[in-house]
Amino acid sequence: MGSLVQFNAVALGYRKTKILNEVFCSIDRGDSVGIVGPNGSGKTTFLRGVLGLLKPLAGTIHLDPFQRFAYVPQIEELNFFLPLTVQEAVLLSPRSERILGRITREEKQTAQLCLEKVGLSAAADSLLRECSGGQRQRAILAQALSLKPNILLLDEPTKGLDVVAERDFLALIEKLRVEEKLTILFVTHTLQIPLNFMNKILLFNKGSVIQTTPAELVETKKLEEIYETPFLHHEFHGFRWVLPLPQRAR
Amino acid sequence: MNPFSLPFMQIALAASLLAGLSLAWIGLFILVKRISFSGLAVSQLAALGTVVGTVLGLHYGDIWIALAFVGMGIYLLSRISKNSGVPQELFVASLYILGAGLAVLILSKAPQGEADTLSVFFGNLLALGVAEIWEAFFIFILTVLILWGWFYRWIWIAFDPTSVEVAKFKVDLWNFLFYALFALSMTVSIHIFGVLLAFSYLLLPAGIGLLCIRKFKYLFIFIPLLTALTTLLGFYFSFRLDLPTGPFLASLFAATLLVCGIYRTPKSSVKRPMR
Repeated sequence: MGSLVQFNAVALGYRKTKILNEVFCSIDRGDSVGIVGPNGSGKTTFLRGVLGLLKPLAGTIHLDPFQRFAYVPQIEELNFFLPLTVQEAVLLSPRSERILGRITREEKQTAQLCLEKVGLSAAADSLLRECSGGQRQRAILAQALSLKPNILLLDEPTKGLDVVAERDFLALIEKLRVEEKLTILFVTHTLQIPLNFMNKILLFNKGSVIQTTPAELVETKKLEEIYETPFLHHEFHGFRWVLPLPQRAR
Repeated sequence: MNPFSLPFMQIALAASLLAGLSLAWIGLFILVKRISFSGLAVSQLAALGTVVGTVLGLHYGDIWIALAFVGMGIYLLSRISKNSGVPQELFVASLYILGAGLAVLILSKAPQGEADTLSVFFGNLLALGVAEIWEAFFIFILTVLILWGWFYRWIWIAFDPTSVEVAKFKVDLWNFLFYALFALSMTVSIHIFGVLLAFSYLLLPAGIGLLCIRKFKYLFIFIPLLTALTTLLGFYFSFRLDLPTGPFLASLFAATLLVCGIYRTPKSSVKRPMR
């Protein structure tokens, strides 16, 4: 299993302000990596580094030459003012490639297939802005899949979803990871997601990154160190739960 | 008498249709990017440049001065940090006030101040010449090449700029191209038919389209049709009623938008998201 992405002593930042320092990590083919850490800890900066949108200030980022990225942004970054249908949104990428937005029959079929994969083919002609949060997120996921990626980066995709929509979305991501042989990078603030659905975790804190596994995270006191608060660990029917201890319980 | 058989009406109509269609398409992106207030400020800066050119006695040179003012305005807006602690609209409003205020101050000292004020702000469509048709044709061709040619890329940039960046398109460069087209089209249009009508063409047809049309692909057809039809009606009735064409057309667009807004509001407010 070769590394798709390898960070060697990488510093990342904007202009000359370093946000991340001395980052060492590796992401292998088929990994599902949870990216967690407090607000402002450099998660988005890391993603921009992986995507090649930020050049390292120091160190080297090695990317597999055959990798193809697709990015699922935070839903609030998207402009739902546009009256786009779900299918039109999925087809934006191939249409953007050519003058006058012409697409081939194959590209249209790919878009339909991607909508089927995310369970949205029935809503293909619905306006995206009139869809529920879960449907919008799946439509954006279909758009990302239409790029035929082997690495899928998701920036807080479950933010704002209700618990059932979140559960369904996570099941869909796991299904796609297996069926499409995807490598997943998943930014989230919900610790349960990487603990139960990912095989690797990158913990971001104050400009540094710790690479760990869900089991290691539960066994050690890393969360307590990073968030500087005691955590309640619990396991129920094989599911791991961690919660910062409520202040009244301390 | 058929008003469209008169040569001065034909010239005015051709220039208005060409420049109006260009502005209406640019306006669609101004609206979806939610920078219509910036459009108003830029209009005033173009007007200020036109005023300076007019006072200096330049006819075509005023376009370049106006373009320089617009360029400076857009540059200033791009330099202002979004995290300055106050809403960014405050700076846009300041530019608008500065443009409008300075234009009136300069015109107040000009020998033909009042006439020039009317010309810059409200235009004089029926006094246009063939040169203005060429100016309008120039921006029309540019708009077709840049906006129509790569329509879906502009839509994708407006919808999800980060994914466009990930797809290795230079979003900053494309945005620069858009603002350059916007600045040039506004400057030339204000030279042709004044601030009021230029701003109306920029925002109102696209606004009516977004209010009335539910599917994006139909906006392709609706916006140019509406722009052309309203322009024809405006010219015809302003001639028949002996009213100034520019303000009449602008009022017609604004009234249509308000009527569409009233018609559409109750429907959209009860629309529930799909599960």
